[in-house]
Amino acid sequence: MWREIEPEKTHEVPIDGGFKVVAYEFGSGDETVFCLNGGPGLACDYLREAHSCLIDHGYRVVAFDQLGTGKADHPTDTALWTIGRYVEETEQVRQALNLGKVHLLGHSWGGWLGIEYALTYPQALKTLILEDTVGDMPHLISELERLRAALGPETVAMMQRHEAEGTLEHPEYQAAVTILNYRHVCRLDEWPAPVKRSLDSWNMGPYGTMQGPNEFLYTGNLKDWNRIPRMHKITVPALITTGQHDELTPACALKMKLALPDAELHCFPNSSHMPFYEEPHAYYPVLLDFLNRHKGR
Amino acid sequence: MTERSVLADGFVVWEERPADATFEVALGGGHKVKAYAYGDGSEVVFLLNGGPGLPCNYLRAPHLPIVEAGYRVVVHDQLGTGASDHPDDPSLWTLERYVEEVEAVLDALDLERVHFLGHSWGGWCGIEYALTYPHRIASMVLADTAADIPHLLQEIERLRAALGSETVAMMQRFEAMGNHAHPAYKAAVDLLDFRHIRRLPERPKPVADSRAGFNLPIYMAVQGPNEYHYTGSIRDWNRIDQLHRFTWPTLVIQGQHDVLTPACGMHMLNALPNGEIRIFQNSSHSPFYEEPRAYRRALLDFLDRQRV
Repeated sequence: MWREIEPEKTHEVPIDGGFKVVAYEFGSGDETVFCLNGGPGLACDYLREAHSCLIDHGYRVVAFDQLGTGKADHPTDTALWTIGRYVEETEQVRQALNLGKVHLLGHSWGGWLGIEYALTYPQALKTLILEDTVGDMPHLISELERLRAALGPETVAMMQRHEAEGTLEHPEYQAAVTILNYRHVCRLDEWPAPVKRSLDSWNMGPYGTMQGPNEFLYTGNLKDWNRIPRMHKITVPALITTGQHDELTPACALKMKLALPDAELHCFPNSSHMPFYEEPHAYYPVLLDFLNRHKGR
Repeated sequence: MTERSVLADGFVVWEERPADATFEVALGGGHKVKAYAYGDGSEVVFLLNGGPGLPCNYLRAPHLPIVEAGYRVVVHDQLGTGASDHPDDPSLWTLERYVEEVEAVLDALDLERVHFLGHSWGGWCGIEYALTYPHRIASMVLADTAADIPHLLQEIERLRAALGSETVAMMQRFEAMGNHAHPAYKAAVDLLDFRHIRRLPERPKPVADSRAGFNLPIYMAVQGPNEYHYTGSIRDWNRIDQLHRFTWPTLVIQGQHDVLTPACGMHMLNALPNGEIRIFQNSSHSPFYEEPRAYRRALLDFLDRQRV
């Protein structure tokens, strides 16, 4: 079970452009779980605190605040907010900490980044763990339409009106997003402290530039991104996890599984986008079983 | 000080100004309420606002312009609201006591017969008042109200259901737990409010002023935690079988999207011996703000036909 653990080491890592990011290291040994959190624009707290407990099972765990988040630098140049640049940043962190081959765990946006990283630096991976993420954004967007539609046609028409007029701060629009967030992002009535910390410091710069204004409207530079046709090149063992109520839906997860040569898929029935907090008793055994089977590669 | 909202062609949507006369009315129990009168003349329109627990600002402001058409407008802050006393005694929050309060106001101002306009809760209280003191009623406007709360609750289920079955299940779960403050539950209520209470991007100032003075314990005791969940003492109230006693002309008003739905209006109309109905197609619960011209025209058309 997750708990908040102080990192054993904190690293300032210089990256391209003269910026620095901050990485957090827990435990030691040859089996490193390297965490890429979602957002983009979120500090790594919510994913770090959910996985630092893997040290209890002999794993080293590394997470980092991506550029623009948490303790990393916060530049405002929107040209920095591209998935290609984040791939290089990820590689620079791996090199700087001398992590060798890693179990790369990407959640949500961290999964998109993980897929892109795996295609760019395939030799850096032992395994790839894709949690609550997708390989095909246009397919995801069609799935989000389905989730929005469950709020009824009048609600959808209202949302589309505010989206067309750019009045997304209107309380009526925000109310619809709030209902969807508690349904498809985290189904807990009270969101865990690490989730709140990450959300409270959300940098909307990278999020708006790459994804969009909220979880149910994609307008950023990733909206046409689709790596399904290339995912056959990712030959390491892959674990895909998703929640039945996940905003990045089980259909998105299945699409990745069918594209990957060596993938297994687990869907948590009472979870949405954060099974590690929503169903921890079901989540950790699945993750540990996969990791234990693929040690020492 | 006068505040107004005026359209480009000079149409006054609402107006707030000091009353031409104010009255402190003593109620039984030693409490006082404040009443406001505008204009003069023998044709009195008495306004009774909704809530319960709201100061009268929101209903008064869009009706002050009818003073220019020759009507005297009288309204009061109901006990527990606005400039009236704010006792902290839950036993006061009953329909029967509010009926006596209305009678005390009309009696104190020496208003023998009035055109009685009740909005929402003001309609429920108005119906009960008219059944108790029928001799004071010259005519009646039942605006965005209902006479049969169990029927209304069925109608509200229909409005909630339009948010989808998973949303309804979520609302029912929080209602069962008594947690009406959770952000997901409040979000569903917000969505319904913008759809069925006021289809406007922002609250007009008099509405915001009334909301700022909302005495929620009164609302909770009589109605419930919000417009879509009735837990209070009114929830079994039904006067449909008494409306045949309304011998005076009665105008029923509803918005097509009204939380107190057009079906609630029709239910009253069918029981009224001398009723007529107007449904405002682009309005919900506040046609005087949502379609102010059409509303004013319909109201004055009715009132002008009732002049004695």
